[in-house]
Amino acid sequence: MNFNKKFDLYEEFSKSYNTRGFDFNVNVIRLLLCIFLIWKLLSRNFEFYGYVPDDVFGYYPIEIYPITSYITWTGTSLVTDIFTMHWIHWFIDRPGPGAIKFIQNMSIVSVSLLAIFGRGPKNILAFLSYLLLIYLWGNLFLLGQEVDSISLYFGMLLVIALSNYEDKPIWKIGSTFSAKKNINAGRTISRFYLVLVAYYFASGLRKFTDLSLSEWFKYDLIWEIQQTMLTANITSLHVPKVFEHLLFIDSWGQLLPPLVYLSHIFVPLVFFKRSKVVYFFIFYAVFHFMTFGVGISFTGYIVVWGCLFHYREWLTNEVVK
Amino acid sequence: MAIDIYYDGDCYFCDNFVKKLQLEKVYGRVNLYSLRENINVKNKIRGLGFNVNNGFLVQFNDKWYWGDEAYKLVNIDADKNNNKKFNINKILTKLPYKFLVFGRYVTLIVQGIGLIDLTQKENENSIFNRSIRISLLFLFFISLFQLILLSTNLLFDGFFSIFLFYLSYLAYGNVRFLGRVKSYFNSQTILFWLGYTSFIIIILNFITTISLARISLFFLALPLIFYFLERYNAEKNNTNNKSGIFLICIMFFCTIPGLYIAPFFGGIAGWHVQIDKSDNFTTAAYVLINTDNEKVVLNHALLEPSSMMGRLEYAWIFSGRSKEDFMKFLFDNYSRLYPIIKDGKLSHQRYLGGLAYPAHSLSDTDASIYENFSPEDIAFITETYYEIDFSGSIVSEKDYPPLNVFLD
Repeated sequence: MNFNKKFDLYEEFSKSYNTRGFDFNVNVIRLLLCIFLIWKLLSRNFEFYGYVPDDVFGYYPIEIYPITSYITWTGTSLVTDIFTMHWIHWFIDRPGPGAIKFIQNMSIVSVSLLAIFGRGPKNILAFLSYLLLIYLWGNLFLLGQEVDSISLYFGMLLVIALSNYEDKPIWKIGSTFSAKKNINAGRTISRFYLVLVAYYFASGLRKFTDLSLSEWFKYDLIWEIQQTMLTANITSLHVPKVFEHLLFIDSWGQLLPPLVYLSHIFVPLVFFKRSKVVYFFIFYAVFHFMTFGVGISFTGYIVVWGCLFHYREWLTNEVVK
Repeated sequence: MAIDIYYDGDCYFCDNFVKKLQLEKVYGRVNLYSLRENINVKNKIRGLGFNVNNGFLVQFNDKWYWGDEAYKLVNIDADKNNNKKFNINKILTKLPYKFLVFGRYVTLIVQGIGLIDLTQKENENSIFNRSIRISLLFLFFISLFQLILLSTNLLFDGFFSIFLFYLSYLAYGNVRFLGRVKSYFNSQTILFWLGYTSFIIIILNFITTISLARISLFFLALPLIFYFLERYNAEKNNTNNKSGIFLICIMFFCTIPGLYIAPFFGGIAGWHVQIDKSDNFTTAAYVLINTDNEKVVLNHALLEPSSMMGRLEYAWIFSGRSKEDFMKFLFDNYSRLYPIIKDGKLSHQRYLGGLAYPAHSLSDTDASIYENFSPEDIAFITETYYEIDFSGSIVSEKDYPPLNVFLD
């Protein structure tokens, strides 16, 4: 290996960021994103929060972890209220179950319209969807659940709202198929990549800050799966049966988490070599499915890399660099 | 009559002090020369042999004055007629000169500015150089904090602190050291990336407290961020649409410690689990008890969307409410959802059935287990704690005092 070979990150980033792309792919991403959001909205019952007493909505992210541990410094009440639109409750009371159900229904309508008609004038449908959804999910964040495998989708929704590409209603998406690659679509696609890269790369960096190198090899994954399965026999937790077939790995399971950590560290490579997105899709689909073994559902993230597939290129057998 | 003052133009303290002396009233023309920027000025002063880091220079009537002497020359009350007016400079002029020199050093450190080096042509206080100094200084403080308050190995942590102190000293006092670092960053070779990454990993492995390690990572990455920022600012053309700003933002996002701006956060935490299979482990579940004294576990998915195990209860307790109050809420929630449960579905499955997006903490989906548990048949709700061995046998079982759902 030539260690003196240059890899000018700044130059390479700029070059890759400004790669041309197809509007067709961006429109497909919009559709997939909306389908996912509708799926999740139809599987959640936000009116639940209308029954939770108002004073319980105060377990902000900053409160969850101790100061010596994973403390989320910026997860304060002020910042969280502002970014979840719950600042509105500085002035008006929290809604009852009926009003929240109405907001949820409005969200479903808004996301459906976004899928069918595109972003609308001034991207209003994308912005409206974001605001409604962040309000709904804000309830979780104010009640001490800081993750729900949703942030990547919110990031992608923001990209759709803020980017400049040729947006088409669902019945005209076919017309973008023959359109040439252009810089605006390319930059939009780059931003989608950056949403995923930032999330996973930050997770990789956390493995350096939160664990010593020796601790990388101290995760008894298979035994934890076994423990979770035993717990699931007694509680309402669930572990898919397929994991029973992994128990033979036994203590060798300690070698699996470091693979994931390394993948997080090297995930930025996909931004520079986008033809490899399929490998990342497969790896992360397996990884997120593996979390089912410890009783955590990252269902949304199992398929998220699939949004970035090169649909237009594949359909025309075009080579992806 | 004119007076020439040679001082540290990059030092906020010196700059303001000199400019506010109002010496024009006494000396007529006052020429201020910063010892940072102009190589001709530096060359002129270098031959004189004064230590310009310990005192500023004044040339007046073809004579040179340095440090204390220079200070006496400029430390005159130029504003005698306005004695009542408060002026911070009036207070400063009463202080001995050594205090002011000390004040300058402190100001330089805080600003991330190094000492004056009369041999250097380049601006040694570029934003990149300053970021290196500030980063090393903060890392030193973190190591010191760890050494004094958290250390479990004084020798190890002491060595670490001394090492970082030495690096900080080099960064502030030796411009050539920073020049070498800069050329290293400029190279952008594979060797640079390996070296930089290794340095980061080694430093982080010396810091054992997670939140401190996260703060340290930020300071370790800061020079790279500012290096890219310098390049971004230097970009003249618009061919790349100045897209480097996205790289800088991503790097900030990934390294800012404890970032949480809902719904975005700085990555999944790292943790490890070590299990001794010869030890028993414990778990707990909320349980409904009916009038026939039959028991059924209350599915946590019924709390969706807040379906992460335990978190809603923590929020409840954090708000000052009691566990009994939470149990009452669980029962009320169950009663409310029972019409759906009776149809064989959990609440999140009401529209999509088995195709519904699962709960965050993966849950059982069999609603038929609640057949004999209509709300009116339930007598108690409790939390049961189980001790389990690795063969799956329940070793012991203990109930939290049950709550009578109708009486309590």
